[in-house]
Amino acid sequence: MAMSFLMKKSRFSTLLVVKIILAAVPVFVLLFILNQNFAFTGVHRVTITSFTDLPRSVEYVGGAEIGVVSTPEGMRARPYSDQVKFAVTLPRGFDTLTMTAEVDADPFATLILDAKAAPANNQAAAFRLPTAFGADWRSTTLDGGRLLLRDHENIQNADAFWSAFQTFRRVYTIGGDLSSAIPSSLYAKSVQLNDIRLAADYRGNLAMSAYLDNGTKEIRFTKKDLNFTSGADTLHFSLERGGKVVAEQNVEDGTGENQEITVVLPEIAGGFYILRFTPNNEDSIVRNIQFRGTELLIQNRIFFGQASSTIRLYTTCQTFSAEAVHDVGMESSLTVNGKKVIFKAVKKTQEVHFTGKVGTIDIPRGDVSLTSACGFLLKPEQPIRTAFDALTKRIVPLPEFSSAALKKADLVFDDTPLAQTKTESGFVIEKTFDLHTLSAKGKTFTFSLESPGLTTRSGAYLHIKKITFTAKRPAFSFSDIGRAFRALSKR
Amino acid sequence: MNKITFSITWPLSGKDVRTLLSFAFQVSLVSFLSFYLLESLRAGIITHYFNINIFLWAAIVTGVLSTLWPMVVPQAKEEKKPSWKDYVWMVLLALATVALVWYKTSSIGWLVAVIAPLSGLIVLGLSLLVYFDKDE
Repeated sequence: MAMSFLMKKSRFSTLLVVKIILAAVPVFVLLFILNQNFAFTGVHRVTITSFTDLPRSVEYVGGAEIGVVSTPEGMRARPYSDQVKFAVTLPRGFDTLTMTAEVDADPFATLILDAKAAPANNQAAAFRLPTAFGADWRSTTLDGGRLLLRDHENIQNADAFWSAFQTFRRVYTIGGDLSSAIPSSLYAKSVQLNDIRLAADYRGNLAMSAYLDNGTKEIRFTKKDLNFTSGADTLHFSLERGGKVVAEQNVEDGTGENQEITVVLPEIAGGFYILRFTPNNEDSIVRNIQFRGTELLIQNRIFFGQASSTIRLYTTCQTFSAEAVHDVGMESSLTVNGKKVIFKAVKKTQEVHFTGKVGTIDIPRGDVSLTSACGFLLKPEQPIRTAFDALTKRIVPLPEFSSAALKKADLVFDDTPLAQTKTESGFVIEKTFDLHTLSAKGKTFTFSLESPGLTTRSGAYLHIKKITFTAKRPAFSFSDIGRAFRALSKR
Repeated sequence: MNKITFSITWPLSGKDVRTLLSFAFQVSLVSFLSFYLLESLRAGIITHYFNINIFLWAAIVTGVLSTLWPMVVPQAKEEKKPSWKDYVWMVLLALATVALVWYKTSSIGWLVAVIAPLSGLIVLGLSLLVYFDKDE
């Protein structure tokens, strides 16, 4: 057919060639738009170079709190707020997104790349210039960050580490979870691990910290979809230490059936780990969490599903907040140290206070969410944590890099990584996010630049040359055809 | 098999430029309307990634220019009677119009059942007019 066409129209005049070129323009535009929407090339890149005129698939969230300044190197953006948020609309079907910022900054500036509702292991990449600490500092790399000593030799072993904490008067931490960075040999000499089983139903995000060692071979739990609302109910589980993922597993929708999950662990060193359950919504429960460990602490917030028997837990903060999530016609209440607290209204947070070192909380029928800065314990005795707290009593946590405070410091624990790449125009900081674990509104994800304390010496100046969002998925395979149809059906 | 030959002449004749202006106008207008239609059906599918006003401006500029220098129309050909394909084409366009108007105005209630078929009839009527109401 095509050949007969060519045989008939064998003479290409200038007019015909120009017409073909003109007609090809909208075809190429259509192909470009198709690729932007369905991403058949596997890579999608959005670059911001002009911060006053964003690409069409990017918007500021909550207004533009970023300005443009003229520098000897050209026009640069400068955040006016501690946090600048971007909503980025991507085609469906990508697995990862790498956010890259090219910056020029004062040695004491900090920049954090973050994403909305990102799990801790997928949360942020902080940035600090290598010159932030002077030449008189020595650095030791640990699991979860760097330990810096001024005018002292490197800490070469666990004993020296222990000694440093005992000896130095002024110990500072900048962000990070120090407990996850300290070598396990610093903990009690012999740790007895037990079989832990959490029978209650947990809904929503759940993060718990526990001491594990190589005796912990697997983590088991059951997921059940409640199907109160329509849509798939998936869950991502990860075991983390020092911000790094040791093991992880995705659990797909279970259509209301019990899904028995076993996560087999690699050989792990002794220490505190975080078990993180991240569902895509609160329409599923996790129950029967079982593993071998000790010193379990549920972090920050718990959302219990319905319970047929009383749930007991403990907290050491004398104030925590509680909320009855559902009202099914029965009185919602809980008991703290024997004193009954009745919920005045459903879905309204109320503060609960108690006196004494430890609060014993009894929840008779679940459907309650609790939040405490200290977290919640299943057993009030926590010998390792108690010893560690005593050790770290003299540690002063710094929310951000402060050169004034560091002038007095003997020892600093810093979990913010150094800028990775130096280019001609400045430093490059980048972070790759797993898109499956980020919350999104349709195809729109929210990312943020955090630059704390810009107006202070600790923040100094920070000029951004360029931000690039690069979404990727594996190269095309035939299985992508089904995936593309599923993506289309979601549109 | 015949050889494919290219006959490139430059500069283009005035007649060719006028033809190209007219063709560019058609391409720009049809592209703008098509992309606008897609955007109306699914907001953001085009405008998140491409500014369709580029085609609108191209259509305006080439439209003005092709009005000033209209295409040289060849001598009137013999009157061509519409074939059954033309009628099918007209009906399909009318049905597409009904579907589109129905989709975009479905929120107004029962009135859509009147407006959408009427729109289709208008398109059908205009198509017939183009064929039968020739200047004598």
